[in-house]
Amino acid sequence: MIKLVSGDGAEFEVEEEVAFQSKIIKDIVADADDVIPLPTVSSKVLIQVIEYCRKHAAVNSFPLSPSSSAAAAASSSSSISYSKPVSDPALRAWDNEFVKLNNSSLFDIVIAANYLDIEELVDLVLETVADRIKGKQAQEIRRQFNIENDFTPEEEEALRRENSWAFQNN
Amino acid sequence: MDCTSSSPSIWGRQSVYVDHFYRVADPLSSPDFGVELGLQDEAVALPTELGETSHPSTGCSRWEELLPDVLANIFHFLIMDDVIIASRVCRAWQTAACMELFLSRGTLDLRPLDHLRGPSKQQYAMLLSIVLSRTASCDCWKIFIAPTYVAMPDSFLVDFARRTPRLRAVSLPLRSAFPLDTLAALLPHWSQLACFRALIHRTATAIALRDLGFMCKNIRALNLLTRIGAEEAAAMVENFPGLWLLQMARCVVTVEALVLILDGCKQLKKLDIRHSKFVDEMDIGMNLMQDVIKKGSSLQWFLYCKDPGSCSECWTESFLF
Repeated sequence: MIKLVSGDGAEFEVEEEVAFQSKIIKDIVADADDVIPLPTVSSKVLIQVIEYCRKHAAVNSFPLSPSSSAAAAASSSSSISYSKPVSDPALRAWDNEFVKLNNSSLFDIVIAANYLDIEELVDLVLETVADRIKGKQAQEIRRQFNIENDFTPEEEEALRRENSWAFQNN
Repeated sequence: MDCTSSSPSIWGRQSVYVDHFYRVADPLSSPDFGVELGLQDEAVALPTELGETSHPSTGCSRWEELLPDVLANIFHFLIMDDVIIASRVCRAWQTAACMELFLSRGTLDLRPLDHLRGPSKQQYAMLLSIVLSRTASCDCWKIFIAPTYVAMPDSFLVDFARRTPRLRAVSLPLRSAFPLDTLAALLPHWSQLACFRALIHRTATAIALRDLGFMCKNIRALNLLTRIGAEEAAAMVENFPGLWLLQMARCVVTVEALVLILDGCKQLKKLDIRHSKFVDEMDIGMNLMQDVIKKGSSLQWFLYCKDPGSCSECWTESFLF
């Protein structure tokens, strides 16, 4: 068992196969520590991340069919894997439920998943964010994600102006 | 291999931008290309200037405080038009959009200019000029792919060449024959080129090849759209001793030139002459073609059309010049 300590001091005991989905934790444990302080992760977020890792550890250790485990092995061997499809439909449905969060909670998971380097979770949350950006105008995106427009009026104007060396088609 | 085999190439992803001249697979995923051509031997240095956009931390609006590469990874899931819109949200997102559009995998691929329309195209060009203005020395790129159909001002190309002395692979615009004087202005800056692709007028090809060989001593891969006769073949043999890959698909090639190349280019491992028109101007007999095919078959890969009559992509008069 590995003990994770959240930023607000809460302790969580998790199995190795759950915790080791985080490459960072795996590396730290390899360096001989089994109490791992995660000062930048709050307990609320850590609970969610552990829930995700538990679910995925359970499914990955009992693959439904030989083909799904083969697909998982193939995809984990590739170095860059964007939009790697989670092969098990039940797990995918679970993932879809998992990311039904408001933007602020989703943001926390994005930060934690990147910090802990949990590849599947990073892909899942980044794609979820991308889905919320898709097809929207800049102003809508700002409102939805509560982002301040920090371009100066001159820059905004420049964005509208015709570009000096816009390429010609003929 | 026959003409239906897919040809690996360093020139881009088929799934994203269809390259009308070569339908090719992902460049760096092809087994030996990146290694052989020195395209992935060192980490690509991102321009630090781009990461320096400061943004006030107001506490509540934190999406703009994500690391630019995390944001760029989010944008990786979006289609290009959406990335371009995202670049207008705020400065931090603009930086991340620039990274995703222009700085991934050490490649500057401007072929989206062929497909983008209206405001998206303008915004794309503006983001490009932002990237170029913030990056004094552009060591971040090893591969440059010009748009296929959209004209680029010579001044842009020359300025770009001046700032990218470490470029390893270049694909010039393929819309019309590339002017020789512009080429002569570019090549002195690109002495480290290993891969070169261009459409060159048949009367300028021999000179262009000699210029290329004179300025760039380490050419390993050539991809030409032109007419290759004995003079051009001799220029290749003489100037590119390390030539490893030669793509002359959809060219006009004399049989004599093929013989010269196959005999003279000792390092040649891969040859692509699909959809080309073969002529026999010395009247030495087309049965020499059998010799060529026999010699070619000993290469690591050799792509040609076994039956040009039934190949829908084979050479037509209107295609070139």
